[in-house]
Amino acid sequence: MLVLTRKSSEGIRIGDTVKIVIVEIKENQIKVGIEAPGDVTIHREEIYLKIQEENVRAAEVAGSAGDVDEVTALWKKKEE
Amino acid sequence: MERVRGAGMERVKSVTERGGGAIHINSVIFGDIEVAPDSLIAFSHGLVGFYDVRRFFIRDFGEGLPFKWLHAVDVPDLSFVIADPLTFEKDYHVTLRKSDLTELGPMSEAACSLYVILTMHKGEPSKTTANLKAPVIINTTTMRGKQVVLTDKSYQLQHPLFK
Repeated sequence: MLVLTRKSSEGIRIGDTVKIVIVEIKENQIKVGIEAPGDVTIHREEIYLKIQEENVRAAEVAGSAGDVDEVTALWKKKEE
Repeated sequence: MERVRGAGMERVKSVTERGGGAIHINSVIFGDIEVAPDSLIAFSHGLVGFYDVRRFFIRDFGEGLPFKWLHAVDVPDLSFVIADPLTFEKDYHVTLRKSDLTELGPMSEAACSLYVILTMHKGEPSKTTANLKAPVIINTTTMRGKQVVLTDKSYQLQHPLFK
């Protein structure tokens, strides 16, 4: 991983289109500003990781027919 | 960052593509099946955590159930159960960004299919949850799909399916 040291209000360019600016530095919190084209998606790392974990969990049980049958049976019961 | 890969990536060899015709898949769920090339859905960025898995197809559960299989083409044992969220969350709605529309291609309202991925728990069907935070959008005209991460804080990653 490339590590750069930046001061408040200094920035980083990624390619021609993405600009990252350190907006504010407090004790243990840094405010980061990001400028990027509309086709670039930006997410907080922890949210992205949670969705990744959820997808992995979803794929695990979806592979076992018995468990899926139980869920469909419960759904049918609910709809009755 | 290390990517989580779907289990069984090495089993790609059990997918055979005959020139221009159907794609043969040895699916763990369906057994030996053939999928027509025009029913494949392209996810140019895969699903979150499954970046390398780009081609999927959908199969119905049947009998009026709101569930479907979202099955990987190139990983025979990778599948997800997806559901129509409006059958249990009537006001659910998704606002697509410009980036999403660029990826999915031109899409009429009728061509936009909205699904959420279900997470099931072994032996405990009542604990099934739906991921309302990151729905799957499919453009049925271009046959392109994308898992969208919503910024809306009111939608949960683990929304109970049975309340």
